[in-house]
Amino acid sequence: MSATLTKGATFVAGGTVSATNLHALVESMTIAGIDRFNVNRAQVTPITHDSVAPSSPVEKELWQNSTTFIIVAYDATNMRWMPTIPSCRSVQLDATSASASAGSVLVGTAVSGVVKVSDSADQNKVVGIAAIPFAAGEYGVMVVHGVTRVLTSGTVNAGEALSTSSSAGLAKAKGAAGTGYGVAVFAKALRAASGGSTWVNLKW
Amino acid sequence: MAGLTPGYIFTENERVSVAKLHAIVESGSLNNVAQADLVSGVRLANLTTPGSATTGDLLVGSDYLLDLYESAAWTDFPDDTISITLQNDDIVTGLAGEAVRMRYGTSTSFQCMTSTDYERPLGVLAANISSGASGLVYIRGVVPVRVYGTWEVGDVLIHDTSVVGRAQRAVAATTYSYSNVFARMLDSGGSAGVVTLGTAYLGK
Repeated sequence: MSATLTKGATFVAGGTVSATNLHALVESMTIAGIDRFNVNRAQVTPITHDSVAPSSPVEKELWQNSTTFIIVAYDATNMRWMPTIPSCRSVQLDATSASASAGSVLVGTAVSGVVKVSDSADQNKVVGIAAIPFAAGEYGVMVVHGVTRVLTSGTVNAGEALSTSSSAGLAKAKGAAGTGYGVAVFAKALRAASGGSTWVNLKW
Repeated sequence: MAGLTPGYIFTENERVSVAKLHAIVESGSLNNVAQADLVSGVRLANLTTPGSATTGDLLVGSDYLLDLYESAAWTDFPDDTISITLQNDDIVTGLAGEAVRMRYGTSTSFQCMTSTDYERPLGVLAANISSGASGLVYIRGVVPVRVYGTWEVGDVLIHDTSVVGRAQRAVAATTYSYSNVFARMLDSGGSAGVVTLGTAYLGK
């Protein structure tokens, strides 16, 4: 829905069309509901904040996923979303993988640039977190390092180490971070969570 | 400049009606909103380099990364790679991508790992550093690393006695959980028996 223009003066049948009324018609007009289609997207781009991608995006249009808060840009030539910050990478989801939700835990495969949604507990090859939702075979964006949001299962307390859950794409708490967890631990929780998602700091 | 398109077009000598007067505004549309139409402090991200830019302006670059206008130049947002400057206190030149350790008893110099080392490195050299010279050592972030043999996405890196040519060895994260693991591979590559550069995430 594009912007709505509301007249600044109301005429009635049999009324007078005066200079004042005609000027007020425009000059007292209000504009509401301005959206991305009102913007000159050949020169500038608004940032759509939503859980799903904006429809019919144009080249370099921006989208901030409302789960991970990561901003991505549209590559119209290849019809895929691209990273806009250095801590993210473009990856393809393996054809056999479950679909990735924004915040899903991703693990590596034998193929460079191809990842899968985690599908069992304590997996060792976590390489990033999905920044946006994307389906098997599609290209998407993954957060490789730094602070980001991840989908969780069960109760997670701030400061706890995280590993993959048996539920696809979810992280679970491993208890207070410490020695002996090995390479399955991929992040430390920065905020508590009970399901949903939470902020974490990724590690190797 | 933004445009307003009237919702009704009058013709010469046409009779004015209430409906037509109202429609001229309320069926109108707003289009081509651009940066120049906004008040100071409200910004859209640019898709093409503007003729004049203000500090803090954003541009979606040709690589889709967001560029920030700062100090009269467009630059990518900085990566969160962390590095420190240390002196090479070894007798050999440290090679870009090579893991190094702090020289015991100092806080300002490093030494190269050797084939007899069996410990967790401090970080990885950002460039070749000659004996006695100083340079940057990456201690966190996505960096190029010298790796011996082949590796897959998600493999972890260790420096152990089997490494040849002062490089690291990638090991499957599913089988190793050494305390001296210091990085995780983000790509696949390499060849058996030789040292090549791979991309890894350093971080604890």
